[in-house]
Amino acid sequence: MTWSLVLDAAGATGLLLGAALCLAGAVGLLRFPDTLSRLHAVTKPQTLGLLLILVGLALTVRTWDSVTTLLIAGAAQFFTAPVAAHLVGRTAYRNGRVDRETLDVDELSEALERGD
Amino acid sequence: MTIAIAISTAMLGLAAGLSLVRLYRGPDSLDRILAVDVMLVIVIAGVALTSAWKGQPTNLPLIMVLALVNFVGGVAITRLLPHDTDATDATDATDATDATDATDETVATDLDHAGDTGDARGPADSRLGAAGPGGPAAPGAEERPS
Repeated sequence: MTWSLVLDAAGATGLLLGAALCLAGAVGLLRFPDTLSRLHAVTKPQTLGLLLILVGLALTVRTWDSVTTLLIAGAAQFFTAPVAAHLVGRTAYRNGRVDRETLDVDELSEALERGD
Repeated sequence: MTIAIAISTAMLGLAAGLSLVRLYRGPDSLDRILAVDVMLVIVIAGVALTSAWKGQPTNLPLIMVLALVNFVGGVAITRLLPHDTDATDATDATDATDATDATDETVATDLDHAGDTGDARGPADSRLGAAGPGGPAAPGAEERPS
Protein backbone atom coordinates (compact mmCIF):
# COMPACT_ATOMS: atom_id res chain seq x y z
CA MET A 1 0.00 0.00 0.00
CA THR A 2 2.26 2.73 -1.28
CA TRP A 3 1.41 6.40 -1.48
CA SER A 4 1.10 6.33 -5.26
CA LEU A 5 -1.44 3.53 -5.12
CA VAL A 6 -3.56 5.35 -2.55
CA LEU A 7 -3.43 8.61 -4.48
CA ASP A 8 -4.28 6.85 -7.73
CA ALA A 9 -7.32 5.27 -6.10
CA ALA A 10 -8.39 8.60 -4.66
CA GLY A 11 -7.93 10.26 -8.05
CA ALA A 12 -10.00 7.59 -9.78
CA THR A 13 -12.74 8.05 -7.18
CA GLY A 14 -12.74 11.79 -7.78
CA LEU A 15 -12.99 11.32 -11.53
CA LEU A 16 -15.87 8.87 -11.18
CA LEU A 17 -17.83 11.05 -8.78
CA GLY A 18 -17.25 14.14 -10.86
CA ALA A 19 -18.45 12.44 -14.03
CA ALA A 20 -21.53 11.14 -12.19
CA LEU A 21 -22.37 14.64 -11.01
CA CYS A 22 -21.92 16.06 -14.50
CA LEU A 23 -24.34 13.40 -15.74
CA ALA A 24 -26.81 14.36 -13.01
CA GLY A 25 -26.57 18.00 -14.06
CA ALA A 26 -27.25 17.13 -17.69
CA VAL A 27 -30.23 14.96 -16.75
CA GLY A 28 -31.60 17.87 -14.73
CA LEU A 29 -31.05 20.22 -17.65
CA LEU A 30 -33.12 17.93 -19.84
CA ARG A 31 -35.92 17.12 -17.44
CA PHE A 32 -36.65 20.32 -15.56
CA PRO A 33 -39.65 22.27 -16.82
CA ASP A 34 -38.54 25.87 -16.60
CA THR A 35 -35.54 28.03 -17.45
CA LEU A 36 -35.01 28.99 -13.82
CA SER A 37 -35.09 25.35 -12.70
CA ARG A 38 -32.60 24.42 -15.38
CA LEU A 39 -30.32 27.13 -13.98
CA HIS A 40 -30.17 25.14 -10.75
CA ALA A 41 -29.15 21.99 -12.58
CA VAL A 42 -26.54 23.73 -14.69
CA THR A 43 -24.73 25.55 -11.91
CA LYS A 44 -24.70 23.42 -8.79
CA PRO A 45 -23.99 19.80 -9.82
CA GLN A 46 -21.89 20.90 -12.78
CA THR A 47 -19.59 23.05 -10.67
CA LEU A 48 -19.10 20.41 -8.00
CA GLY A 49 -18.60 17.72 -10.64
CA LEU A 50 -15.97 19.76 -12.42
CA LEU A 51 -14.19 20.55 -9.15
CA LEU A 52 -14.15 16.85 -8.22
CA ILE A 53 -12.76 15.93 -11.64
CA LEU A 54 -10.03 18.55 -11.31
CA VAL A 55 -9.16 17.29 -7.82
CA GLY A 56 -9.01 13.75 -9.17
CA LEU A 57 -6.76 14.92 -11.98
CA ALA A 58 -4.49 16.74 -9.54
CA LEU A 59 -4.19 13.55 -7.48
CA THR A 60 -3.30 11.55 -10.60
CA VAL A 61 -0.79 13.94 -12.12
CA ARG A 62 1.21 14.57 -9.03
CA THR A 63 3.12 17.77 -9.79
CA TRP A 64 2.88 21.16 -8.10
CA ASP A 65 2.61 23.03 -11.41
CA SER A 66 -0.52 21.13 -12.26
CA VAL A 67 -2.01 21.94 -8.87
CA THR A 68 -1.69 25.69 -9.45
CA THR A 69 -3.07 25.48 -12.98
CA LEU A 70 -6.04 23.39 -11.88
CA LEU A 71 -6.60 25.73 -8.96
CA ILE A 72 -6.97 28.61 -11.41
CA ALA A 73 -9.35 26.61 -13.62
CA GLY A 74 -11.42 25.48 -10.64
CA ALA A 75 -11.59 28.99 -9.19
CA ALA A 76 -12.64 30.37 -12.60
CA GLN A 77 -15.54 27.93 -12.82
CA PHE A 78 -16.48 28.31 -9.16
CA PHE A 79 -16.62 32.10 -9.09
CA THR A 80 -18.08 32.71 -12.54
CA ALA A 81 -20.92 30.21 -12.42
CA PRO A 82 -23.05 32.37 -10.07
CA VAL A 83 -22.45 35.48 -12.19
CA ALA A 84 -23.50 33.77 -15.39
CA ALA A 85 -26.52 32.22 -13.68
CA HIS A 86 -27.58 35.59 -12.29
CA LEU A 87 -27.43 37.17 -15.74
CA VAL A 88 -29.36 34.35 -17.38
CA GLY A 89 -31.99 34.43 -14.62
CA ARG A 90 -32.47 38.16 -14.90
CA THR A 91 -32.75 38.00 -18.67
CA ALA A 92 -35.25 35.15 -18.37
CA TYR A 93 -37.35 37.21 -15.97
CA ARG A 94 -37.28 40.29 -18.13
CA ASN A 95 -38.12 38.40 -21.29
CA GLY A 96 -41.27 37.06 -19.71
CA ARG A 97 -39.95 33.52 -19.52
CA VAL A 98 -40.92 33.20 -15.86
CA ASP A 99 -44.46 32.43 -14.79
CA ARG A 100 -44.94 35.09 -12.13
CA GLU A 101 -47.78 33.16 -10.48
CA THR A 102 -45.41 30.42 -9.36
CA LEU A 103 -43.13 32.80 -7.48
CA ASP A 104 -43.57 33.15 -3.72
CA VAL A 105 -41.55 36.31 -3.32
CA ASP A 106 -41.06 38.57 -6.31
CA GLU A 107 -38.71 41.43 -5.54
CA LEU A 108 -37.52 42.08 -9.04
CA SER A 109 -40.86 43.34 -10.34
CA GLU A 110 -40.99 45.99 -7.61
CA ALA A 111 -37.46 47.03 -8.42
CA LEU A 112 -38.30 47.24 -12.11
CA GLU A 113 -41.40 49.34 -11.46
CA ARG A 114 -39.45 51.66 -9.20
CA GLY A 115 -36.95 51.94 -12.01
CA ASP A 116 -33.97 50.93 -9.87
CA MET B 1 -7.81 3.46 -13.13
CA THR B 2 -8.64 2.14 -16.60
CA ILE B 3 -12.11 1.06 -15.57
CA ALA B 4 -12.74 4.32 -13.73
CA ILE B 5 -11.75 6.39 -16.74
CA ALA B 6 -13.81 4.22 -19.10
CA ILE B 7 -16.93 4.56 -16.96
CA SER B 8 -16.35 8.29 -16.51
CA THR B 9 -15.95 8.77 -20.25
CA ALA B 10 -19.19 6.90 -20.90
CA MET B 11 -21.04 9.05 -18.35
CA LEU B 12 -19.66 12.26 -19.81
CA GLY B 13 -20.62 11.16 -23.31
CA LEU B 14 -24.15 10.46 -22.17
CA ALA B 15 -24.30 13.84 -20.43
CA ALA B 16 -23.13 15.55 -23.60
CA GLY B 17 -25.82 13.76 -25.61
CA LEU B 18 -28.52 14.84 -23.17
CA SER B 19 -27.45 18.46 -23.27
CA LEU B 20 -27.40 18.22 -27.07
CA VAL B 21 -31.08 17.26 -26.92
CA ARG B 22 -31.74 20.33 -24.79
CA LEU B 23 -29.75 22.40 -27.27
CA TYR B 24 -32.06 21.22 -30.02
CA ARG B 25 -35.32 21.42 -28.10
CA GLY B 26 -34.86 24.40 -25.80
CA PRO B 27 -37.74 26.74 -26.51
CA ASP B 28 -35.67 29.80 -25.74
CA SER B 29 -32.19 31.09 -26.50
CA LEU B 30 -31.45 31.04 -22.79
CA ASP B 31 -31.99 27.30 -22.63
CA ARG B 32 -29.56 26.89 -25.48
CA ILE B 33 -27.03 29.09 -23.69
CA LEU B 34 -27.30 26.81 -20.66
CA ALA B 35 -26.88 23.74 -22.84
CA VAL B 36 -23.73 25.15 -24.44
CA ASP B 37 -22.41 25.98 -20.97
CA VAL B 38 -22.94 22.37 -19.88
CA MET B 39 -21.32 21.01 -23.02
CA LEU B 40 -18.25 23.16 -22.55
CA VAL B 41 -17.90 21.98 -18.95
CA ILE B 42 -18.14 18.41 -20.23
CA VAL B 43 -15.40 19.18 -22.76
CA ILE B 44 -13.23 20.48 -19.92
CA ALA B 45 -13.93 17.29 -18.00
CA GLY B 46 -13.06 15.21 -21.07
CA VAL B 47 -9.72 16.96 -21.48
CA ALA B 48 -9.07 16.34 -17.78
CA LEU B 49 -9.86 12.64 -18.28
CA THR B 50 -7.40 12.34 -21.17
CA SER B 51 -4.75 14.05 -19.06
CA ALA B 52 -5.43 11.58 -16.26
CA TRP B 53 -5.29 8.67 -18.67
CA LYS B 54 -1.90 9.66 -20.04
CA GLY B 55 -0.62 10.92 -16.71
CA GLN B 56 0.92 13.94 -18.47
CA PRO B 57 0.16 17.55 -17.48
CA THR B 58 0.43 18.72 -21.09
CA ASN B 59 -3.21 19.74 -21.55
CA LEU B 60 -3.70 21.66 -18.32
CA PRO B 61 -3.40 25.19 -19.78
CA LEU B 62 -6.14 24.15 -22.21
CA ILE B 63 -8.39 23.37 -19.24
CA MET B 64 -7.73 26.79 -17.74
CA VAL B 65 -8.42 28.62 -21.01
CA LEU B 66 -11.62 26.67 -21.64
CA ALA B 67 -12.92 27.50 -18.18
CA LEU B 68 -12.43 31.21 -18.83
CA VAL B 69 -13.89 31.07 -22.36
CA ASN B 70 -16.93 29.28 -20.96
CA PHE B 71 -17.77 32.22 -18.76
CA VAL B 72 -17.03 34.97 -21.28
CA GLY B 73 -18.99 33.33 -24.08
CA GLY B 74 -22.07 32.69 -21.99
CA VAL B 75 -22.16 36.18 -20.52
CA ALA B 76 -21.56 37.82 -23.91
CA ILE B 77 -24.46 36.05 -25.59
CA THR B 78 -26.76 36.72 -22.63
CA ARG B 79 -25.95 40.41 -22.71
CA LEU B 80 -26.45 40.68 -26.47
CA LEU B 81 -29.76 38.84 -26.74
CA PRO B 82 -32.49 40.87 -28.43
CA HIS B 83 -34.47 42.17 -25.56
CA ASP B 84 -38.17 41.64 -25.11
CA THR B 85 -39.83 44.42 -23.12
CA ASP B 86 -41.00 43.74 -19.59
CA ALA B 87 -44.21 41.79 -19.25
CA THR B 88 -45.44 44.43 -16.77
CA ASP B 89 -45.56 47.07 -19.50
CA ALA B 90 -49.20 47.69 -20.43
CA THR B 91 -48.57 48.46 -24.10
CA ASP B 92 -47.01 45.04 -24.55
CA ALA B 93 -49.99 42.99 -23.47
CA THR B 94 -50.24 41.28 -26.85
CA ASP B 95 -46.51 40.71 -27.03
CA ALA B 96 -46.58 39.03 -23.64
CA THR B 97 -48.82 36.36 -25.12
CA ASP B 98 -46.45 36.07 -28.07
CA ALA B 99 -43.70 35.36 -25.56
CA THR B 100 -45.33 32.03 -24.76
CA ASP B 101 -44.80 30.67 -28.26
CA ALA B 102 -42.45 27.77 -28.59
CA THR B 103 -40.15 29.24 -31.22
CA ASP B 104 -37.21 31.57 -30.86
CA GLU B 105 -39.39 34.66 -30.95
CA THR B 106 -37.30 37.19 -29.03
CA VAL B 107 -35.81 38.38 -32.32
CA ALA B 108 -39.22 38.82 -33.94
CA THR B 109 -40.63 40.71 -30.96
CA ASP B 110 -37.75 43.11 -30.96
CA LEU B 111 -38.24 43.82 -34.66
CA ASP B 112 -41.93 44.50 -33.97
CA HIS B 113 -40.97 47.04 -31.36
CA ALA B 114 -38.49 48.69 -33.69
CA GLY B 115 -41.46 49.62 -35.88
CA ASP B 116 -43.61 50.80 -32.97
CA THR B 117 -41.25 53.15 -31.22
CA GLY B 118 -39.48 54.40 -34.30
CA ASP B 119 -36.19 53.42 -32.72
CA ALA B 120 -34.03 50.61 -33.98
CA ARG B 121 -33.36 48.86 -30.75
CA GLY B 122 -30.09 47.12 -31.36
CA PRO B 123 -28.29 44.64 -29.20
CA ALA B 124 -26.74 47.37 -27.11
CA ASP B 125 -29.99 47.92 -25.28
CA SER B 126 -29.27 49.55 -21.96
CA ARG B 127 -32.06 47.48 -20.39
CA LEU B 128 -29.62 44.62 -20.14
CA GLY B 129 -27.04 46.79 -18.43
CA ALA B 130 -25.32 45.12 -15.58
CA ALA B 131 -25.80 47.96 -13.11
CA GLY B 132 -29.04 49.32 -11.74
CA PRO B 133 -28.81 52.75 -13.40
CA GLY B 134 -29.42 51.03 -16.72
CA GLY B 135 -32.98 50.39 -15.61
CA PRO B 136 -34.50 53.87 -15.21
CA ALA B 137 -33.39 55.06 -18.62
CA ALA B 138 -35.08 52.27 -20.55
CA PRO B 139 -38.70 52.47 -19.28
CA GLY B 140 -38.68 56.23 -19.69
CA ALA B 141 -37.21 56.00 -23.17
CA GLU B 142 -39.76 53.35 -24.10
CA GLU B 143 -42.74 55.51 -23.24
CA ARG B 144 -41.59 58.83 -24.61
CA PRO B 145 -42.66 58.36 -28.24
CA SER B 146 -46.01 56.73 -27.37
